[in-house]
Amino acid sequence: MHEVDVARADLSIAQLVADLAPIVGADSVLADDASVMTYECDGATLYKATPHVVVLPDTAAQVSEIVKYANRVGAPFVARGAGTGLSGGATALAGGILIGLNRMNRILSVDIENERAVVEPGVVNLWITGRATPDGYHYAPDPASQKACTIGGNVAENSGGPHTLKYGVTTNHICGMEWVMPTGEIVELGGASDDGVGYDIRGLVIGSEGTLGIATKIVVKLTPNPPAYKTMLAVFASLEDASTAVSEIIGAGMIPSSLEVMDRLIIDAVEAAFSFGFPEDAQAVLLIELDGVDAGMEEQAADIVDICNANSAQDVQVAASEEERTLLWKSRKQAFGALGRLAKSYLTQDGVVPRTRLPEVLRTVAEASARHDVRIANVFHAGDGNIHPILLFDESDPAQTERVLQASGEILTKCVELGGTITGEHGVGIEKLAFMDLLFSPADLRIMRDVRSLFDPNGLCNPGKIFPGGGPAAQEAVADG
Amino acid sequence: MADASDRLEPLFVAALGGDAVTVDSDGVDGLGIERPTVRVTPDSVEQIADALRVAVEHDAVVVPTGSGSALALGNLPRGDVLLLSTAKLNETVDYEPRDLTAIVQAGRTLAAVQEETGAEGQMLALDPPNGASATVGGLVATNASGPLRQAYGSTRDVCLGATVVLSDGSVVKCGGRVVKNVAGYDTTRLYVGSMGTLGIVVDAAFRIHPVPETTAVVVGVGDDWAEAAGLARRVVGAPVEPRFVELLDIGDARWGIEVAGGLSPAVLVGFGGSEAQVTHQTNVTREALTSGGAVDVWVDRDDADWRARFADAVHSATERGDAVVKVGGVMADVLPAMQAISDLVGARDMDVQWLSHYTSGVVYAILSSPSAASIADVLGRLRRETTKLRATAVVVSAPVEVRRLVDVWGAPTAPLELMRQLKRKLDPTATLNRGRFVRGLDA
Ligand SMILES: Cc1cc2nc3c(=O)[nH]c(=O)nc-3n(C[C@H](O)[C@H](O)[C@H](O)COP(=O)(O)OP(=O)(O)OC[C@H]3O[C@@H](n4cnc5c(N)ncnc54)[C@H](O)[C@@H]3O)c2cc1C
Ligand SMILES: Cc1cc2nc3c(=O)[nH]c(=O)nc-3n(C[C@H](O)[C@H](O)[C@H](O)COP(=O)(O)OP(=O)(O)OC[C@H]3O[C@@H](n4cnc5c(N)ncnc54)[C@H](O)[C@@H]3O)c2cc1C
Repeated sequence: MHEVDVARADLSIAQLVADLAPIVGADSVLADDASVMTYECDGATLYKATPHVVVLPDTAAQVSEIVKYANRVGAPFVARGAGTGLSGGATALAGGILIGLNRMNRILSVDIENERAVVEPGVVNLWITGRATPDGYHYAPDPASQKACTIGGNVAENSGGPHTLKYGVTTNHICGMEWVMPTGEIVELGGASDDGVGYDIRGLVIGSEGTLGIATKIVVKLTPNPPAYKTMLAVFASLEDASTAVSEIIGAGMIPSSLEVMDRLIIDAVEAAFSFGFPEDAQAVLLIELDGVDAGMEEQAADIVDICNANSAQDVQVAASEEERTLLWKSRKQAFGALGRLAKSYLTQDGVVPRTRLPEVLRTVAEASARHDVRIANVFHAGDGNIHPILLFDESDPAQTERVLQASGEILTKCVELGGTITGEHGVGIEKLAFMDLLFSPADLRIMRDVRSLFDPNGLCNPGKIFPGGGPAAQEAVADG
Repeated sequence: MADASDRLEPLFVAALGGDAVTVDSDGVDGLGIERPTVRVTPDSVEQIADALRVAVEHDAVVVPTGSGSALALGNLPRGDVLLLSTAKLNETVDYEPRDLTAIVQAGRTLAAVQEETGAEGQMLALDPPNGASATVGGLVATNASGPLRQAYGSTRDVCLGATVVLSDGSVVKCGGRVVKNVAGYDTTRLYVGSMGTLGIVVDAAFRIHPVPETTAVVVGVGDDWAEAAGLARRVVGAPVEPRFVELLDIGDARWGIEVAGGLSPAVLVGFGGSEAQVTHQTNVTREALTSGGAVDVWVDRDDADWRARFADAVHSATERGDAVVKVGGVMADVLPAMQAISDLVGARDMDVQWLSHYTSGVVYAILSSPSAASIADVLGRLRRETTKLRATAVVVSAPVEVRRLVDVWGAPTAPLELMRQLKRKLDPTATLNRGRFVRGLDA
């Protein structure tokens, strides 16, 4: 396990269990070793810490009671959805109470006429689309983890996905929320309308990584399904060619709904798993999707094929049917799963650069890979300039782990140098604490810490995340606890 | 009693130099100030910070202003007002067409941004009511939007980051210049729509969009507003992707639009894209509106005139001294909101003109009446109706006499106490726009 310097709260497990059982029912409090171990980390497996107890509330009132109780006894608490987060956000760094929201998983209403749905936080992202599909609607933000991740987690991370190039990220699709403040009161932030009055607190708490409170009800926008799609897959002999093609497509005034790139290592992994038959010397695959009305789409697709060919594409396939579309997407959607074959552990990085700087940052990734002798696979949302270098290693080997962290640091530093950022969609969590100072001045960070202590005066709400040094409030509280 | 300007002018001359300080001797119309008022026009971020420090020390209330076009928005300020103009911070900091992003200083006008990006076939996809004069700082402060919000969102959705000077003079950055960024809290959202009560925006980064190859508007005229809204509803269910679906009173004499029977409730459906995309969609829409019973349907190529008419309708209302109220709900609220306002206006000596971003659930009612009390009364009662609809009702523009009688914002849509605490953290002396935003914020 990787070292993180947040002290474990000094709490009596037996006492917690005894006090929490009346709130949620004894069946919904878990404290045995096997149970708490299940929650020791999220998708960022380098960082592990077990909560003292896990509670599984069923209502907002219960969440509120749990949080009030935590404040009374000085127990840290962490909300958790599906635990697919990739920055350690749902890991109970200081122990305490882990609040699993998976039982609050009801779709409360679907209002097609007004293009809204009201859902509980534990609802899985894809379920909303499932419910809206018969009416010709979907929920637009589509993280690659959408079959598992929850809307509560999406709100906390302000998640994106392959289609955010055209449709935007989570914050653009949430109108309102019922929210449990870190001190336990239940408040309403926004509503069904997008035109709120006063400060945009809804916007402030989206992306707050579980540190400013807990979403217990979420009003999402539904988006009409486009009448038609055109999906293409182009194969290139270099990542640079693929990146240039991306820039030229955008430069030609087109905004495809997705522009996703995968490199050779990913191709190897998906080939080994699914035998797509990509050329042996292919170094990059670019997945392009257009959506909108049917009319004029053929012409746009032809222009895109021309741009790919002009950039030395080895092959361009255009899906002719929904089955072919699904097949082309399969390589992208299975990329993460397929990587499991290549290494014991992997760390998924998440940096952003202005789109035109992609070739430069990819060179840095290659150099870092060579210098630190770490295999790095690349899959990225090229249209957004959002790279995901995936560093392959064996986490039981401390020397390798150290090299992985070094390589990560060099890549993120480069992203900032190029005018970008250290995280485009996975959050700071624990994993990027050390890089916040690269991006923000002490004055910038002070505002954020002020916001944090205003919301969470006792520093108990997911302590140790986002702010380098754990945040003064957080550390004090943990020490006191 | 001595004028505040006598007290404040020498302080700011001493701090910023005489060139940066003038006095608006007739006061400030939109703010209801009839006495001479000091205006500072800093030429750098440092000067803005200096001005704020002096203001805090000497208890001046700073009203930042871009073009001053939206000063009729907001409650009236309290205290000794100092206008702080961003006019000299009017440069483009960085515009990279191939990245579709731009960083622009607060005092630059939207018109200038459109000209610069237009030369590259691009645009900042915002078309608010007074878009010709509005500045970037004003757009951000008011979370401005127009018809194009259906396709691109409001300022909130296209603003990627900003540099802000707080009232203690510190300069902070939020967000960034890339389209995806989740590092730390999304504090940009705090400043967008905050009416300049938390800090002075000195520059902002935006997502830029390509200008579509061609545009068109399908106009459908209904017998009454219920029918026009019904037509809009049909378009929402049709296999088309409009850039906007507006309801508009097209009978405005200045526009010279002739409709059989002199009818004026109309739906405007805008499209943008390639020739083939636009032609196909206008055909489908024309068919949907015709079969939906529209009295008259036609297609205008190029949507610029129509979007300008929207802007003009609101803008000229301000010039005339009308009151403009904006109701924000969801689609199903549009017709009930219009009905509620019509009922309230009833037999009064008052005219109403309508606009609506239908798909966004937004209705603008332009109320004109010689009696401020009568308008204030309608607005007051309207709040009760919109509360039932769970919609918001903001008076986005009104003469000072009306704003003396009503709170222009109404109840906030998140806890007021949280807003007060945020305000106190960022502007403890309530120096910025004191009294102008939601009631009780800085009381
Ligand atoms: C294979 C794979 C692919 C992925 N692809 C993408 C992608 O394309 N785009 C992307 O953006 N992310 C992606 N992710 C990351 C991850 O899926 C997202 O961050 C997701 O939003 C996390 O949701 P979750 O329910 O798993 O949240 P968790 O991991 O359980 O929690 C994440 C954070 O949210 C907080 N939280 C959870 N619920 C709530 C709540 N109700 N209220 C307040 N805070 C809460 C937690 O405290 C924690 O800080 C991927 C992850 C994996 C494993
Ligand atoms: C009659 C009228 C109706 C309007 N209706 C709508 C509407 O319905 N919908 C809509 O979206 N917009 C509306 N607006 C708002 C308008 O489109 C925008 O506010 C515009 O951007 C104003 O720009 P400006 O430079 O003229 O700002 P100003 O009028 O100078 O200022 C507007 C507000 O922003 C603050 N401000 C200005 N610059 C800064 C800065 N740099 N930093 C911090 N605060 C600053 C001011 O203090 C003031 O509170 C309306 C405006 C008018 C005049």
